[in-house]
Amino acid sequence: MTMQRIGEVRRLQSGLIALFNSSLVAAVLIVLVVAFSLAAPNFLSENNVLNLLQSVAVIAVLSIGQTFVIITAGIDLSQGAVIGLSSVLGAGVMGATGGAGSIALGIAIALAIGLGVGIVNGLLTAFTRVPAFIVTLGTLSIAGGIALLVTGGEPIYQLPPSFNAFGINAIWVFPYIILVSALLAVLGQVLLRRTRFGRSVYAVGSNSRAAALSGLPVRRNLVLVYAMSGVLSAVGGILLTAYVNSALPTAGANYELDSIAAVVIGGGSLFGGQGAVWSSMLGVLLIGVLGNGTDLLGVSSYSQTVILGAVVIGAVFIDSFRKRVAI
Amino acid sequence: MKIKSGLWHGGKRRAAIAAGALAGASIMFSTGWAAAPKTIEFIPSSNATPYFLREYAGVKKEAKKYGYRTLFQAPSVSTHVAKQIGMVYTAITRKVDGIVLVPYSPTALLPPVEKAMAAHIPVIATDSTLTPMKAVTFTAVPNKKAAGAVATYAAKMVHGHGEYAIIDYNLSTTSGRDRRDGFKAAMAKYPGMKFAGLQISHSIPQTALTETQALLERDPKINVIFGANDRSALGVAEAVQRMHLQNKVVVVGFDADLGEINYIKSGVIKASVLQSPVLMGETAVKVLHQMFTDPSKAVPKFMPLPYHMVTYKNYKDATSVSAIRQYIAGYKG
Repeated sequence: MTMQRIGEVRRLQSGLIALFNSSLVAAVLIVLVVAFSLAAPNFLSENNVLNLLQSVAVIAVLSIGQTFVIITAGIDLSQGAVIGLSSVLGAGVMGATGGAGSIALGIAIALAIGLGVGIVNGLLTAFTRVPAFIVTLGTLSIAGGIALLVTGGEPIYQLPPSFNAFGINAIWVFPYIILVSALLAVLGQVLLRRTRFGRSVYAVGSNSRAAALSGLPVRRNLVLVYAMSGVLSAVGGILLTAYVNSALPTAGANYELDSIAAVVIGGGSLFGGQGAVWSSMLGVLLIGVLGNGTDLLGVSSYSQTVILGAVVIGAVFIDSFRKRVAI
Repeated sequence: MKIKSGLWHGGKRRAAIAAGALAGASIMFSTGWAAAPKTIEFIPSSNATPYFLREYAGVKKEAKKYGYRTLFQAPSVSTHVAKQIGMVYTAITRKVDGIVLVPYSPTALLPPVEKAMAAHIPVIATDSTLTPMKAVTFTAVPNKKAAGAVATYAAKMVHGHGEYAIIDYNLSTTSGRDRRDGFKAAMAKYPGMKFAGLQISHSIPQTALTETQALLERDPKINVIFGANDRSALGVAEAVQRMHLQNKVVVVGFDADLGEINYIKSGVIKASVLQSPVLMGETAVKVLHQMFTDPSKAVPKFMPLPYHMVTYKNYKDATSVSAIRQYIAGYKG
């Protein structure tokens, strides 16, 4: 066998392994959809598909940002708190001033908050020795605390009706909020796979030392990645506020756990260098279908968290198994 | 021989097919002919307090009388209003016959409740209400009045002089807001009582405990603390006991689980307003039963429920014991 043949076989092998891994999630998703459509009445009804897509829209947006962060071998635990802070400050502006322009202003403020927290996360992660886990844990507490301070724990109920209409209306079975998430997911995937920035994100995650030595602006890109995650968390906050028609300071609590689970289930590795936006979206759908299907079957929501935990552990186990095979 | 065994084989197979068809037909007949029992789903705002488990016990008790099935779904994280919204939509998809709801937010739950009502699934709001009230009816203890009653009791105990603090469970549900408003309004009648602050516990006793300790450290003049639900009052009482302030600080609460009752007996909690959770569940199912059997009959928009103030002095009375039995099944005293 020539070296060329061996090289080709190896490339085919790794290609097949990648396909197997990502298609495993897709396969499980298809099996679940088929199983639930047979076992649970009305699983595929218009209303239920609509409900399912609405329930995953916010996590989907968060997972886009989390994908980028996890590929760099980092983690963003502050996403849920950013949702709370950006939504109460944005909604406060929207409600207080009233009128059409106030919605745009409120959204702009929410995005600015997300950007600000993200930049702080990025700067601390990139320029200090503090691990991302600790940095984002800190900003989680700070952002969450500011949200409670500003509102005194009280939710904001006064929101423009057109804003709520955007949150709950749909085109057929596709709610507006999921269309926003889908668009952002496409943009995120293109950014990750088709741009130099995207490739450098993988490089930083695989081996940040080598990436720095080969001239990549590692620190700058890290700041950008966390800034993106912050902005996307704020987008999630806007979508959530529109959907529930009120801004609660604790609105996004623990949402980051779901976005991390989605990325890991989709094949992202917490050690970095691996993952993709589209496979994280598969992870989001899997979590959503599991939750919705078990709901319809009457399984208690307590058991659902147990099932989700088992699925996450299973996904990480498969990921480690795949690593061993690859070596 | 061969022909015989072949026939026998065929006979066995035919017998099996016939038996299967008979079984299948009888199953189909029995499920088709027997009317499916009505299903009522109970969706409280959280799983963080045992109060809703007692309310569900009331739902089950009343539903059993009419042969209705019951389901229970609660968000496993109490601050996820989006989860509760999803649960109501799922109940609609599952085509339940009635919903008993404790809305976590008076406005967020409006769209799914309206959808349920439009799908001919009556919704009964319990404990907290919707704004505007789009459910069939709202049944609860008049929270403002009840909180006012316990505030007056506390103010009288300290002779109308001092400072008071509130540990509320959340300010998202109308019950949480009403208890705060009612307590403060009653306290306003005592100009010697100053408001020292409010903290949120999210029905976590540990949080209520640390918040109470911080409040008392910061402001030692506080002599009244109101824990607005069972979990909050538990944390407050624990904090006051640990700081040995039970003779200086009057702790008053709402609801009563076993922990709170013990604090009432030992005098750390001076008074607590008891609702009727089991009766709340029963009332909701009674209204649903009326909707199923006689939909033309009018239903009042608000159905108030009785409350009873248990104190460290009257907890042995018959009325108190029976009120506590709403919270602790089989309580004898």
